[in-house]
Amino acid sequence: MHIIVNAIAHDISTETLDAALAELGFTNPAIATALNGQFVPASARDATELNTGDRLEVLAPMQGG
Amino acid sequence: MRIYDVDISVPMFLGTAQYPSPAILQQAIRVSGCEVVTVSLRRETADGTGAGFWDMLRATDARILPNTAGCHTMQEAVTTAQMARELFATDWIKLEVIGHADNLQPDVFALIEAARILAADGFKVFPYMTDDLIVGEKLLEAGCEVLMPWGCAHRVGSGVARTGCPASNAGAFHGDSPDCRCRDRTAL
Repeated sequence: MHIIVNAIAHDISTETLDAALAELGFTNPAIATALNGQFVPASARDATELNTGDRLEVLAPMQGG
Repeated sequence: MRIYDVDISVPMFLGTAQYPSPAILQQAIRVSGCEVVTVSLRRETADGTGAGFWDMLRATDARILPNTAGCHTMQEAVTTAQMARELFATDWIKLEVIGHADNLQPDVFALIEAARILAADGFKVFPYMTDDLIVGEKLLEAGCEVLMPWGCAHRVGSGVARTGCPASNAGAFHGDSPDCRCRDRTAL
């Protein structure tokens, strides 16, 4: 399945958001996610199914402000 | 100074950008005595660069004020605020909606709309705004209790020093003290 992750194209074999994060190597627990511009809480990732063309954003704390 | 429902004894917020090392940032937080530090959210890489920074910040016991830096639309800012609330376990959000990429002037129209949505959702919003009295009034009406005018002279390290910035003037919102407290609200 072809999806966009943080503006970079990826092909993944998994079908849920939770599984995709693991497949893509996002092992840091301090992340937050949004799918197609909508926030997806951590508790909903395993029930969130992905579709070809989805845009996934994975954010983490960074210096700034 | 009381900010929303929190008493702050040191009325200065400390940014976390551009320190030479995490150790120096940690030292700056400790030596300054600042109780509030601002942080950002950025796109994560698979190697997990954000985890170490967050672990270090938590060790300081500082109150976290996340921001929506880099957002250029209302929807981006709202989504980023929701992500920050989960990640940092705080309902405080410094709301930034950038209207001009070069000088970072806020898009006040999108800002007010985002502030209204977030305040209704329980966020304590710190809006990064222009020095416009009407914008300030609209933000207060939207539910904000704090205003953060851009480029005001009293904001240390601000990129644009604008003396006479009306929205930061205590008198503009019937304030009575140099810290720009206004009514029961605060301009920072």
